[in-house]
Amino acid sequence: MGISLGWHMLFAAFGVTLPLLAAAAEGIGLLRRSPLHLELARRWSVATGLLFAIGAVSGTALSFELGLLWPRLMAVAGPVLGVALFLEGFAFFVEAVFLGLYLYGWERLPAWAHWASGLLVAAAGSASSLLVTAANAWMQLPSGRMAALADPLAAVMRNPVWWPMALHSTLAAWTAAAFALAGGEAWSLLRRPHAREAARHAAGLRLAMALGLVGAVAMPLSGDAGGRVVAALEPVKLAAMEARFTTRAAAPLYVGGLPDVARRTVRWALEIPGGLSWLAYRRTGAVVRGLESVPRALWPDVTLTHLSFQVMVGSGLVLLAGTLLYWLRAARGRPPRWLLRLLLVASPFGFVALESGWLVSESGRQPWAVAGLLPTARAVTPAAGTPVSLAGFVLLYAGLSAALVYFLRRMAEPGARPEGGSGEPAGEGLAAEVVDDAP
Amino acid sequence: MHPETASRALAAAGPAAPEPVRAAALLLAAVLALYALLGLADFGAGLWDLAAARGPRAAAVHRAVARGMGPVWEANHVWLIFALVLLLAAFPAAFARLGSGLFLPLHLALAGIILRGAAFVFAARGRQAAGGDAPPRLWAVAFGAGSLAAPFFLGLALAATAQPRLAWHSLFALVVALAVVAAGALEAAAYLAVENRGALRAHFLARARAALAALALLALLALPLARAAAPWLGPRLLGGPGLPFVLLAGGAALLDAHALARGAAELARLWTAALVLLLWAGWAASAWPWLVWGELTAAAAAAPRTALRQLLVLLPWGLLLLLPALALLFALFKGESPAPGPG
Repeated sequence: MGISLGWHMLFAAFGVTLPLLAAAAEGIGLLRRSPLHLELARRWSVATGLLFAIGAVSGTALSFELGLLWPRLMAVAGPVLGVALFLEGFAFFVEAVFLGLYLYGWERLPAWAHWASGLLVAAAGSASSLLVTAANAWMQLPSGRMAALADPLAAVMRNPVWWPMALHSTLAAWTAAAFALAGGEAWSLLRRPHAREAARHAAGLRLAMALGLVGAVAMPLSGDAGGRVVAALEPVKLAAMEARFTTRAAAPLYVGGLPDVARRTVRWALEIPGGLSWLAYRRTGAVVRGLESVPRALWPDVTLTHLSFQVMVGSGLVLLAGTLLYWLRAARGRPPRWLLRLLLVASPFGFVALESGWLVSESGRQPWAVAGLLPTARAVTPAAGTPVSLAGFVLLYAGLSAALVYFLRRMAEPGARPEGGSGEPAGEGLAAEVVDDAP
Repeated sequence: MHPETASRALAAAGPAAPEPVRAAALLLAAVLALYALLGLADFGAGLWDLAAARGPRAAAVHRAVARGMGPVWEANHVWLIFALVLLLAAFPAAFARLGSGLFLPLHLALAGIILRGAAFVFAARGRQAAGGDAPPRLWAVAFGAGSLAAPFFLGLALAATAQPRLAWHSLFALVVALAVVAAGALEAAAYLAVENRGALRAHFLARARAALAALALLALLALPLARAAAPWLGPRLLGGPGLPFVLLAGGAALLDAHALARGAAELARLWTAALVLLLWAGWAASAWPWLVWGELTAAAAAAPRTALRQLLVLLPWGLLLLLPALALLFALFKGESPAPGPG
């Protein structure tokens, strides 16, 4: 399940973000009558088609695996999670419909309608991300199962941890995909393409970095808001994130460090006195609950949670630095090669942050599947053969990922033909132009 | 009829299902019907794509399948996700029971679905990159194999719900699974015949005739097998609430055969869709009120009444958003005259 989910998040993030960027490029292209931007939009929409298909099938895997791997969780929480997932089903449906219109409607729809369907794909994708997080948020902080069953909609929608979580993870998806895309464009630019292609890649990089800037700045803000909600409502998770073993006033913030669970200390960490208290409660002297306030059996995996959290924050800082450097430098013309190399190196960190952030939230709520109601060990399937199915799916995913990378790389190569419907006239014309530019 | 079994099962089923439960079950059946009409056809298209791989019309068939599925297959596929989510939300106990009881067949169906979807887009990309029409063998085979595995194992799972203890390894289940595959193949050939012209239309009409014959044969085989293998569903298919649907399905099959023989593609598409719908309606009406025979009725598996009501209240709003979008999609890509085929 974790593998499928981790894999799905990659593609879901692209499925939400690429149409947004493609629509932005198309909008600029239409407004400024810039064929460069229109071509960029077309290329991005081809990549969207590939990535979304993988996202859709891995999403199917998830809806199956909920029942296959977590039957008891579904029996307990089905009605509550169901309402959120039911709504998400509609959002996903709308996303798939408009994606079909966007990918195949270049020649058949009026320009404005085509552009709008791209925006709708992005909007529906973001909505589905918000709603999935709603289901997850309820598992993090279920507001009483009985009350929830009486009114599942309210239980899901009025959950105080939902908004910060949903905002944070949706922004994370945008940022991660934007940086990955920027990395791709930087890589293409580093290969010294011809002038026309270079201009297109540069325009792509600029758009991706614009979204990256929004994301990288908004992430820490939404993360801080989320952190304070966690501090108030899920003190054990906060304690695990920060490796806070003892309850104390004026708790320091650990930067880095390896928790030593047996001795209940953190080694090799940089301590900022009162930092944690200030972050959680805006007072350097505030009391922060430690893990010792609950029985040892109810602790999450402190090492995993703390390290994931550090990785997430660290990656976020890398992204913020990368995007600030780009914008400081890009104001003065083309980005130099060292900056492109830097962006290439920074580009995977968006996904590192996304996946490690998810690890924080999931490992932080262990040993519970639904906090306080259902332990993970009891939620999982009693069926034999889970390891076999796990191995099979890891192999399948690895094979498909390799193929995907292969196809995306071929698309990025100079002279690759962008898809135009199924070889319709305009697509051919565009392809011819690109081929002319090829060496 | 097995009067003893039937009455024992009825007693176990308890009083009639309350209104929201019926509505939710009807909704689930409708969503599955749409999946059977649309999603199943995409699997069938994968089979014809594979079957044509070595033939003389390989390139034309690949193109027809890619053009027919391209814009709509993801939307068609969402009906399945929607059905799963609905099952989870409205009948969580059944969702949980099916998940643990059909662990292996559902995993294999899932593997087929993943492989099929990924291979379809990869094959399209590979074809473009190669500049030719024939996709690289690897992806064509993966696309075809996934398109075969998914409906087959979903069919096994469906048959299992009518058998004691979710038994999915039986002759009856095998026949039902093959019938599901054949139904998809029939739909795909009938739909593609309308969307193409000339030699390609004749190609698909011939395949539709073969698939219809296979489906009829399998259905005739399944009915007597059902009496023994599915003690509740079987007798009711041939004597209870399922009978009218079975008879109507027989009529639709004859009309379909007639239309196919005359080469009337539009009519054949209509009767094919009617046939699949009637077969599914017959199955659903006969299986009611059991979701998992002998274990869970719809009422017993249902979520609390309030949760069901919320689903039903949300539904029209969701449909308000969804239906116009779907209508636009199909009007744009399926509503116009077919693209000229070769010959």
